[in-house]
Amino acid sequence: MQIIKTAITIFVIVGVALSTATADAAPPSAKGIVTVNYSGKLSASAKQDAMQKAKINALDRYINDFDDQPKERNYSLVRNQIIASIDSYVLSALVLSEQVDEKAHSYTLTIRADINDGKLENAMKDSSAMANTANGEKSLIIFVFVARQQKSVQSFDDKKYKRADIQHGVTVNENVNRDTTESEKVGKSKVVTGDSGKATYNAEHDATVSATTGGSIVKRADLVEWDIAQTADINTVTAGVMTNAGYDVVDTDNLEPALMQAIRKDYSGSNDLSPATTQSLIAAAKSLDIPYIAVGTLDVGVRDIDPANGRIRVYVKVNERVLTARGRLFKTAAAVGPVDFQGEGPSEDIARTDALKTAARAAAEQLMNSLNAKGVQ
Amino acid sequence: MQVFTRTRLLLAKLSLLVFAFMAAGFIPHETLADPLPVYFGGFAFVGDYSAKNKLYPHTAALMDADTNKPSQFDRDLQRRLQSFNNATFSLELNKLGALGPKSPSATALAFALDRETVSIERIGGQYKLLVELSAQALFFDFKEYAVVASFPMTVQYIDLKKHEPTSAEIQSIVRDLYLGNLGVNIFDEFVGTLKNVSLSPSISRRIRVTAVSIEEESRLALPESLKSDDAALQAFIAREFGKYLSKNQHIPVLPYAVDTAVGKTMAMRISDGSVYSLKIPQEDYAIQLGLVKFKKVEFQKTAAGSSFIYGAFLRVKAVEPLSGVAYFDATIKNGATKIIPMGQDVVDDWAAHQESLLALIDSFTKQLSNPEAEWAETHTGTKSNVGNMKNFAKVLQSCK
Repeated sequence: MQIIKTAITIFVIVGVALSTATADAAPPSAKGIVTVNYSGKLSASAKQDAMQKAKINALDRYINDFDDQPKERNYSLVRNQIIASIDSYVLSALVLSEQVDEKAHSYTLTIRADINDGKLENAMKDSSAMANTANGEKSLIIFVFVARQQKSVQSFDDKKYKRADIQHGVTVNENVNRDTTESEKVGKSKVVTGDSGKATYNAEHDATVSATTGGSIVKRADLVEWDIAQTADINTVTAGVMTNAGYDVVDTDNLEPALMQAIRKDYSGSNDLSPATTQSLIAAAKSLDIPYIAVGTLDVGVRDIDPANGRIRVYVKVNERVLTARGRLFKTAAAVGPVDFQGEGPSEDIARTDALKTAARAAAEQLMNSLNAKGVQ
Repeated sequence: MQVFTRTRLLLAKLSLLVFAFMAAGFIPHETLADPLPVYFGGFAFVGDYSAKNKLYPHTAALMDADTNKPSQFDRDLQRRLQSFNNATFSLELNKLGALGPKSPSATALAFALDRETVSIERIGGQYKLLVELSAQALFFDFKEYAVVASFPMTVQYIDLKKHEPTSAEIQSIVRDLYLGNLGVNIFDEFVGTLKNVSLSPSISRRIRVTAVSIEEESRLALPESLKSDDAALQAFIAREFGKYLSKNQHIPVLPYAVDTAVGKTMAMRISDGSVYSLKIPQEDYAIQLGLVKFKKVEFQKTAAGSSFIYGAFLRVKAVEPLSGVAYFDATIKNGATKIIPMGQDVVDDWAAHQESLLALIDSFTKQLSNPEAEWAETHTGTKSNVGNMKNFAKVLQSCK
């Protein structure tokens, strides 16, 4: 009876596994294709070889489809390690087509592979220089992100400068011909004198006026005033992404309130920090031994209605960069944006929060990928 | 004692056999696991939220006029599904709102209306009224907002009237196609379709009609309303093909949905006002269709009238897109005979052509269960295509 019990136990386990499979989120999938050559007859081992290579191809395609260069670079760093244990990164593979060309001794296999995305992401993060640096030796990073919403926009009319060069030219040709005849006839009783004249006058006046117009239009950018919003959600999301990737994130509370005030003031009227504020921030970071400073804005745009589903939609534009303050100079180590993200919800508040969180997470991941690709420790 | 021992050995062997089959994955899911809980989401419109009244004017008007909650459509659907049984899934009615992270399943089902067509043609001294509703039994992942499987269905009602049908008459017919007893009823079709569904917990391979081309020669036979509306004709052919393929092969077919899809998403609004943008997963196999031509040939003429053969020609290509491997690629054809009585001046040729085309699709998708050389010769011109039909049939088997 022991065997029966074993069989029944397994039966139940399989049943539960199948039921719960749908409750979990379906894994992402990607297609892979490979052609292998074989000698003699197509063997099971040649087919197995093709299957492993098709899985690798599916994984490569999966990464390429992100169209994210830092992510591709990070993947390339760990690709050999991943493909060495490909079966733990590809959960399952379905054969979609097989072609055997017996003359050419080639076998082409197409599959769809379910990707273990979580494990793949962890492998890329774990292999980064940051993840492999001991806790005490990790570089610190501070995020000074500001969420803004337009308070007022002052638009300026275009200034038009017009110029006209007028040339006035006159050409006069005059021809005057005079023919005169005088006569005198003297008779016995009278004397007749005659005088006849003919005059011809030709005059041509050509007057030319040409005007060349030109000028310039001076456009002045809108003067935008921004309301600086609370950034608690953004900080939480950003810190979460970076901490998971092994970064030591320093809270902005470590900066002087006056400096934070200056940063908010700069961003309330401009898209950049003023040179003075930037210098102060760099100096503050150096004094705290923080080599990386991420600064930037998340601008909440106008709301509209998604025509597909009638929900409120809000866009957020992200502009962020990471400055490195090592040595005497500071330079940009990574940058994201400008790039738009959108959030949706039944109300504007929910849609805005959704958009900000989405933007913060996506931007943090892109920055992390860029920093990892550069081997930041 | 000996009998007991033998019985025990037999049971042990049987258990091992069962286990071995299970390990090899030979036993279908429905014999292994409990039915999958599926949460019923009710009546839904497919398409842009803003276009509901434009895409489904009569149905939307009926829904808007109904202030009851749940609506009469939803109540009628629920009533029909009360005693519904399917070995592969169990329906959870009125529980969609309770679906949460700890629910045993995230699969939801909706009756998703995707087309409402009304056409009036004047034929001789009469008016031909055609009302058609097309819908999907749409299974979707409530967490991922992704289409899991779709089983299409269509009902059609044709009436000849001596006067031009009024808007009230049309609306009444549309209503009866949902709630009445006209002989065809789309809610009946919905329940009937669900009974034949075998819902696998993980639908393995996916198939979809991805493209429909309209060749110039076929335009000669089109009615005026379709000559300048390729999108409507393409959607009609794609959906009809998908419907017959799903019905005759008992497989899910992903929505064509080109006219309602933005990228690879499909908007859907259920009757309580909730809106979902569903992702349509990438198809593993693509079906590309081409409407080649229609032909009308006089077959016989007698004193009583004439008989005509209405020919329909459709190119069907089934392909795995990444490798480009084509499993079937041929033009299939069908001739349907129609007798025109002497004295009938006006003939609705398009109706006969359409009937011939649909009969062809129905016959072809049925043949794929067990392809026959004779059918291949008659309908594709060569017996050799039976091999390709068998290849296509294997692909369809893998989509179950």
